[in-house]
Amino acid sequence: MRNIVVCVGLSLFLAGCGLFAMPELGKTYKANADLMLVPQTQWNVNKNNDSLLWTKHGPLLDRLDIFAGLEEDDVLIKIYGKDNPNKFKPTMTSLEIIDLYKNSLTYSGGVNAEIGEIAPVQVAGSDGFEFEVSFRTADGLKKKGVGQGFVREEKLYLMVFTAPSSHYFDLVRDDALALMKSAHFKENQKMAKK
Amino acid sequence: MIRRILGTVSIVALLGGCVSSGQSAYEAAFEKEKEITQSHTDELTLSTYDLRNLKPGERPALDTDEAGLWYQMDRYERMMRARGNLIKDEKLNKYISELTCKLAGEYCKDIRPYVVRMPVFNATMSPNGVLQVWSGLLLRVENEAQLAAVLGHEIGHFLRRHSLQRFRDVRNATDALAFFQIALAFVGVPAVGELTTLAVAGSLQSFSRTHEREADGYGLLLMSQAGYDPREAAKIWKYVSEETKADKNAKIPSVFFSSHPRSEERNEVLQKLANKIVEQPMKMIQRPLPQGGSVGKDTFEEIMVPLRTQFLADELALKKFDRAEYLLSKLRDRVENQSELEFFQGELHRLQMDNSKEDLTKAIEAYKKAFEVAGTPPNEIYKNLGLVYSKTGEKEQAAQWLEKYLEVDPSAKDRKMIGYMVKELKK
Repeated sequence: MRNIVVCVGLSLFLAGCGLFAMPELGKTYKANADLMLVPQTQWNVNKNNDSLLWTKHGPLLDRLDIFAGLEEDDVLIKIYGKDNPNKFKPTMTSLEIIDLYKNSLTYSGGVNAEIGEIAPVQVAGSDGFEFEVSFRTADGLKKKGVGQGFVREEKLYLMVFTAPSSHYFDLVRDDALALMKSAHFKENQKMAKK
Repeated sequence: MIRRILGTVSIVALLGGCVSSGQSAYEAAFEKEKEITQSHTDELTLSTYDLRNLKPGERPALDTDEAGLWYQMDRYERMMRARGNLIKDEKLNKYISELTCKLAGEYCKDIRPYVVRMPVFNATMSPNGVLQVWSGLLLRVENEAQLAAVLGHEIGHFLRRHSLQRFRDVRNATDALAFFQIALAFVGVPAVGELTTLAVAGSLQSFSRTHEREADGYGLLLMSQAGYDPREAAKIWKYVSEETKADKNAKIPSVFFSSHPRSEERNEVLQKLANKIVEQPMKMIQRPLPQGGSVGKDTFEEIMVPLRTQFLADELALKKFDRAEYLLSKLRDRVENQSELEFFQGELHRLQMDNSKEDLTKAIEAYKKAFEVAGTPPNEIYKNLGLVYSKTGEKEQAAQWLEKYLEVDPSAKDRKMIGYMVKELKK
């Protein structure tokens, strides 16, 4: 009996069931640093130490990475035993933050990362930016992405959705943008209730 | 106790005691060339190896470990083609292929060169003939002769089947390691295990250094036979040594664990050998070398001009600023488009992590110099001047340069963001 329980537990763990949760539709979900998100369609979410990962079909097929509240000298991606020189500085302009993302992508094995259209947008009540990105993974898979970000009280908030350019990017893009659009801060929510 | 220690020391010495003095490995290629020329056979071996060279077009027999190695590398080659960081520039690929063929002679069809977008000084050779030339190498070599020296070096690895040799060395050494550790544990000296591991690791790297020396010799031999000035080969290692010295954060690897000989050693030995070739070409390479060989600066430069902007941008993205600054200082001596170099000098200061007042001032100075010297800077210079001025608080200047950027590149992908920034700066 004990063996069966261990086997089932191990199977569930390996299948990733223990890693992702399904947030309720319409309910406010807290990311790091008081950034709140309200999913309107079904997502799976996984909380790492430094970021939140949202996905609809599994992170290999589509993923929305949320980096919330990064402070000076923080990095977007950590690789054990390697020093990532791409660090956030509060003085960075929007264009430099987008370059930071692009260089972090290359640092983590992305190939030929190219930034597309960049435009100013309001994100979570702050003046921010939206950008498009395309790259290949280390094994050659062509991916596209769209991201939004802003700096608030010297902290970086960045949300980037990436997926294979054939099928999954177009399939999930609008839902990912809707989730980014739902981003707001806790105090703004309280103020809105008042 | 003393007996045990002596036993331990002798085992460690046996495993680690094959550090080559170096010089003879460099000359091995020339010795072999003499033998081949004299006897017209490719079955000859060097004293250090049991492996003969593969014949042109030959693939290893299917039942050998070498065939397994090739199979793995064939798979890797298919993956590499799909990766997307291969540089597709037609002129460059044709140029590299033709140069490889010129050096490889009858082995031309066995070697498949690929140019990889990777801002690091490197080239690699796989046992199945996949030759990778990295963009960081192309950015650093000064001319065709220097490039020929590196390609010849890699062809040397292929001809001498160094990967197979190394594969077998590693397998034999790890087998021996396991054997000695078990044997020593039996006689009650378990602590020696780590020492033995160290000795084995050191001895493997020593083999690797011997391969590199031999490949250097091949580089020199093949480039001279193709008519290039062999004295150019040593300059590459002089450059590498100086760039490393310029890098304040560079870690100096231990000679014991280093897989390559020191750049200083390579520079010195290759220089001596090159002088010998130029003085006595008939003796050394069995053919004349008119005027000490050609350098091929113009052809190489013509290929590099349209690619250099991207390569330099990739280099700076690594944020190894000491190395990049040294590279720019060397490029200034030979590149016509000085304006582009000043732009990247400005980038070097703009991208510094601290963005101190001093860095921002230096960035502005370099960008402005780019308009005064020969050549044309990339369009980004207008935008980046605007960004730097926005950081120094000079809003009017910042807005002017950003507007200029929109004027010279009205279809820029970041035009909406730049337009917004201009509006904000003018508020």
